[in-house]
Amino acid sequence: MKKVVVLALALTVTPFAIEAQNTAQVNATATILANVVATPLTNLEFGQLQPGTGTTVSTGAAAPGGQTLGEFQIVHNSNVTVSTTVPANLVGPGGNIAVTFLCAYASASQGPTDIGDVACDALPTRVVLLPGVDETSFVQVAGSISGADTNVQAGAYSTSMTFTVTAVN
Amino acid sequence: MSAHRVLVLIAALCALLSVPQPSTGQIAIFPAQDLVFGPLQRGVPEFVATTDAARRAQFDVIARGSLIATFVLPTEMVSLANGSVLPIAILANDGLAGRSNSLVVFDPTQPLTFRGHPSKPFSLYLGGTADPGASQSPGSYSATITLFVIQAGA
Repeated sequence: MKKVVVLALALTVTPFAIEAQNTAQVNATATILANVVATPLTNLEFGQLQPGTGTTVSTGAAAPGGQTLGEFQIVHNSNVTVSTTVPANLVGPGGNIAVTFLCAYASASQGPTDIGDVACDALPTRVVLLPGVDETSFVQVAGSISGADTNVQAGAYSTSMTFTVTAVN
Repeated sequence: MSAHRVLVLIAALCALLSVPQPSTGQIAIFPAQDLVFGPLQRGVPEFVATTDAARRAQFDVIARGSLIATFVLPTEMVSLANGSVLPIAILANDGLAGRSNSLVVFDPTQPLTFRGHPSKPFSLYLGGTADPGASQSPGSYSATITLFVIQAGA
């Protein structure tokens, strides 16, 4: 008799203890595009050289007469990376003139650099102070030519560098 | 009380309780698709309609009986990179529900009662509006939309 009563109680309790329910989730997603505008400002000009003489154009200030510091401007509202392939030579009528390049970031055009000079293919990530708010950065491109490399045929020697600016978060 | 009466009592209780009762697991919810706003320009709101098959959120529910769906809707998406937020609104007209050829607009901010079917999925679609600010931080944003479904009866 006792066993029967226990069974009956169990049956009455069970239906109220179980409730059908379930849950699931999906995501809402969006990507805010970064604003990045790069504008070339000045070419790096070493100026006119006598054969056998070298020269250097430095970062951090406007170059002296006859020379110009290379520079481009970046308006960006996110962190950016700047990459390039660095050429080894200027090319002209007498062949190649070896050249070395150095780059730096600045907050003002032709102004003092925010970091020390680095190889142009090793610029660090440029960090914005306030993500989402446009800031202006400058990349200065400097370089030097050794006197030993300028005993070449007269003429114009040049090369080009293509910089890629990429927004990163 | 005689043994016969006890048996009759038990039989009566069993009969009373033999009406099919739901149990956990009888409601299947399939999170079929995220609500995808995609790439946005800062300062430019973006609306995803419930009829936008590629971008609307979708849940499919397979269950028996009368069901009640309730959503927990986000009001902002959060940057995965720096924790900044992007407002999102899923409002009264941003729900669409039903089976393939019979869909009706519903208010996802309120509970929705519908009938389940054991083999025909009942779909719940959500649209919404993302409203990035003029200085919205670039990057990826995400929020979670949660659907609860309970059985209201047979």
